[in-house]
Amino acid sequence: MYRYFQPSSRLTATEAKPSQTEITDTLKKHHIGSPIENYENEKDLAEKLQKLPSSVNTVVMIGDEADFENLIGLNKLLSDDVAVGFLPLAPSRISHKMGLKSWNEAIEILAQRRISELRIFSIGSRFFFDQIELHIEPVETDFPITITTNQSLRVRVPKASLRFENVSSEQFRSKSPLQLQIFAANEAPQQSVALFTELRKRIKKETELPTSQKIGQVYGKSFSIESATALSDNLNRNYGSRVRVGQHQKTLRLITKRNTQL
Amino acid sequence: MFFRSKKDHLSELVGYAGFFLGPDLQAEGSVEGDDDVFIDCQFKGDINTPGALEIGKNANFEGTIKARSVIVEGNVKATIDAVDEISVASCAEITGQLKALRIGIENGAAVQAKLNSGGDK
Repeated sequence: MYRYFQPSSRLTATEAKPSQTEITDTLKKHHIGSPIENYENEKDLAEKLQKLPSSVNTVVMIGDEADFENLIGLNKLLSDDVAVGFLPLAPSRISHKMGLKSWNEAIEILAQRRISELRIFSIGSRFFFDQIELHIEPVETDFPITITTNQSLRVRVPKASLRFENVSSEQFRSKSPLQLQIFAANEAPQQSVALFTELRKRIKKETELPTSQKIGQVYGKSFSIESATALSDNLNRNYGSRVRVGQHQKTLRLITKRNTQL
Repeated sequence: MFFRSKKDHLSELVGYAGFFLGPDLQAEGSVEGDDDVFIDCQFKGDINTPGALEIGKNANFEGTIKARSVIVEGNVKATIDAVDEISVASCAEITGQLKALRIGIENGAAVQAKLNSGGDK
């Protein structure tokens, strides 16, 4: 049994985006019809996921990349046999990687229910399978961030943004399936940073960093990040000043297009 | 002279796919790499990689190195054990021990090290 979720903020249909009725009708045509549950925010979604009946074996997010990342982030609330799917309302990096060119095609792929078991990573108590960015609040300290890898490498970092990416699909990365890219952030005037942060809040999706000069790239199985100020991710979720990022025992059962390499 | 041309240096490669620590960082500890490594910062510790290692001009390195090949351009105090070759650039300052099948040192490099090259590996 499938269960669909869509954030209330994404209900407005446009020329490019289908209405909930159109989606429901198409789902029925493919014999995977089920009511779409709307939710207000991440907390609301978490509560709904916790109440899922055991008959639900497939959970699908209808929305954009950030909404799907929210669902992945809450993967700990899903039992191990539940598969996760994505019905994108707009093209994005993740939808492209999953081979989902349009919402119509995504429904066909959901109906086929071809499952890929993927390695998943945790950041604090949340999960991600593709990538996540961490930013720090402005601070005057020279080296506000310390990164420690699972190989006991300690790296002291100036004001910077960090991007973690799952590279486990690259076969030779067995020892180091997680890539950490470090971007200098100290060249951006504070006004730009504030504006950028506000923009991020509004559009709620990943954009390029204001300054994207890469100053480091490290690989590992896990990383401990300590910061002089609070860390927040690209979805503006707060992690405090200390967070662990690493491989998790739980795997993600993701519905993908045939022959898709994630 | 077998010293590689500048464009062949790891640091010159576009997009640099391997492990790298730039001049703005400070690091200590160990690196067990899967691939090529480029260090261009203050670093104290050990590096062990089956790939190539480059110690950049901005680097201040202290520790031990095991790699397939090593290029040194910065300031290095180390025991270096390379399978293939060690190339020391003219701008490098190096003290310690160098062991490799081939060792190349450019004119101008400051080297105070015990060298072991050729078949005696």
